[in-house]
Amino acid sequence: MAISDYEITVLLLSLKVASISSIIAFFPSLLIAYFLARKNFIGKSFVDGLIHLPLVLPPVVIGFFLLIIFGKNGLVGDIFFSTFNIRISFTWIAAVIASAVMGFPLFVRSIRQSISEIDPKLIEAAQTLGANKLKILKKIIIPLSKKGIITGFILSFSRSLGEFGATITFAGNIFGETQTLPLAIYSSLQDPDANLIVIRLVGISIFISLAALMISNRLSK
Amino acid sequence: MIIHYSLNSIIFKNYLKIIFGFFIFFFQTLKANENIYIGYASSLHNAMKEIVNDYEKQSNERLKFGMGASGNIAQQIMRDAPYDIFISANKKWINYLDKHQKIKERQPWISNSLSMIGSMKSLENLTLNDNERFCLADPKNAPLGFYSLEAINAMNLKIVDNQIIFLKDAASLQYYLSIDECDYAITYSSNIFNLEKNVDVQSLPLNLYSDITYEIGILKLNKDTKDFVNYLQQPSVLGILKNHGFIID
Repeated sequence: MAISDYEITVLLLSLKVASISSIIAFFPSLLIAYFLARKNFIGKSFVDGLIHLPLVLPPVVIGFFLLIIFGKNGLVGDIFFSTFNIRISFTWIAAVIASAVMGFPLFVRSIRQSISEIDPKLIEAAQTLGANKLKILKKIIIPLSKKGIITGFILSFSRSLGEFGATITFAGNIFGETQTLPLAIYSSLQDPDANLIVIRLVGISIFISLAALMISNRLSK
Repeated sequence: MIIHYSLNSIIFKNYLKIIFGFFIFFFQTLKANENIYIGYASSLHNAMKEIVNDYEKQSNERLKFGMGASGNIAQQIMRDAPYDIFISANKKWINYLDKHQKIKERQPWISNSLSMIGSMKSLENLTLNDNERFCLADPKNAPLGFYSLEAINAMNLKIVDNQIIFLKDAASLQYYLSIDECDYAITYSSNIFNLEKNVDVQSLPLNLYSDITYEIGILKLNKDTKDFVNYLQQPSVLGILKNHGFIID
């Protein structure tokens, strides 16, 4: 039962999309989590709600919005197309964007939780000792919210591995380019002769998700 | 305050009855659905909406429908989806279900043709730029994709694999056409009828691909399904289909 070329391609693409999207989602997540945990500002609950939208909206709706924004005639897509001659929709970059957006709220939630648990006196002490904001971020906030950051990474990584609706709408189902594990399983389900492939892909999918969860449990202890 | 309190207490005291009531309501709605359930090729969607609407007005039937790539619906039927009538955009998927004893009765219906969309001077020497895309329906399940590949091979078009976007059926191809995501595409001529945008269209010669014949398969034989299938063959219905760009033999 050696793993086939088809499965390798799908698997590697899934891992590529999941890891890049998690890395991309990290920096804005950290920033927003910090503001939500530490600052009070007008419209905070609105911003909070907005960030959680990908968690509650149907993924297809997110895919639709992304298509509207990044499509050839979209607000951002048009700029990219006319200035750089680059198309975003239906490329692996589109799959990365879709995954990053879907994983973003999970990331923010877990980092925010950790940041709000940091004793404010530590930050005040650092300020009185003359540390600037960047230094506080590097020396206090990031190290003390390490647990949340790791959990966030794993959660958004796993979310990305399971992402379906937004990806198929915005990035399509192109083998070798945007066909990640769930999309490959979906495609094989439509094919009467592919029952064995379905079972194998499902097996791979369970194995990877379980591994990600076990690693996250290990790391967050 | 008193009203508020009493309402709360009514809900609280009777919550079992309320839950029970919901269950009864839920099962009632399940039981009441003895309508005709039609699965059809997605290219028929716009026309079918009109046809189903007319039929519901003149008969007391309620119709439910599901649409998708013909192959997709055939797969659903193989997994016991409760369709009563299945309309496929080719013979292949009706044959497939027939082989598995799912089809009680079958009859040929209307035809369609292919058109190519895109700014090409001639069909013979089409070359795509690096970032241009060619949209096709997925040949595995959508008959449109199968016919399109036949035409592409017959024309000897060279398209690089990663410039092709396979979309799941004719309807989704039409959606992506409408938002300008495809520079080139091959689609049913009937789809172009429904396209609101102005696009460069060239109809493909009929000898480039096999005959596109829609076929009706009856999965459950009874008076209701027979009535509806007879209705589908009536001149008024065929007229609607003609208006949508289908070919009536």
